[in-house]
Amino acid sequence: MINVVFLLLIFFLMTAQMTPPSPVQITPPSGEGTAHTQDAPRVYIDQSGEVYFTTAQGADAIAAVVSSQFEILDIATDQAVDANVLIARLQQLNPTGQTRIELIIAPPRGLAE
Amino acid sequence: MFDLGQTIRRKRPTLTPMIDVVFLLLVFFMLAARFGSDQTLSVSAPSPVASTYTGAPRLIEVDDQNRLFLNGQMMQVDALIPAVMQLMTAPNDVVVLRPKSGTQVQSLVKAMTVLRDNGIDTIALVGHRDAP
Repeated sequence: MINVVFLLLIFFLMTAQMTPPSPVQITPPSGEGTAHTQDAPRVYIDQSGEVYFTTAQGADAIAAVVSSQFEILDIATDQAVDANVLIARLQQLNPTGQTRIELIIAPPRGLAE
Repeated sequence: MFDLGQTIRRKRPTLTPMIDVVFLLLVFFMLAARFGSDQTLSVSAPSPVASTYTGAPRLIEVDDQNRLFLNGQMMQVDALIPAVMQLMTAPNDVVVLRPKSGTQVQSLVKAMTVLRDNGIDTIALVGHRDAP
């Protein structure tokens, strides 16, 4: 039993740091989406429409994303953000239209859907 | 004989506190680890050929009460889907989705999921002209 406990502990120790902490507290919109791997770079948009990318925020973050020319970009946004603000940010982050943008969605909680 | 005194029974230090600590660490990491089991919704996908818009206007709007409007006319989902399909010249024609002012992302996501569930995959998101 102690061996099993140690194994579990080491497992969680190894996998615990896989997701870097998000700079802002957001509640993603709920919905049914498609499963997605964690590899794509992630942009955060908080309630005020401010963009966060790694350590940069605002216009610096947008410039960093545009200059990196990612193929795939994840966007984690709060569900209360104005949709038109999100669309404006999408156009700012993807001016060439060559980036595939995925919006992070939380599966709906509860049994009812 | 000599009184040798009491033989000292050596007691091994108990392992119980160490197991407690291990359990505590385990529970801590179980709670603190996030596996990122997110799901995603594709909002922008690059198309190899610049898609041109063909056919009648297919403008779907959504407001903050999750009501859908097709070309300015409010419709229920059951009526809207066939109406949009009729306006499409090909199954993968572009449909424009535009949230009204003050609509939350949640409503937009809900509208997109409803459209996708009914077979409308090619959605172009545009912003309202009053948007910042």
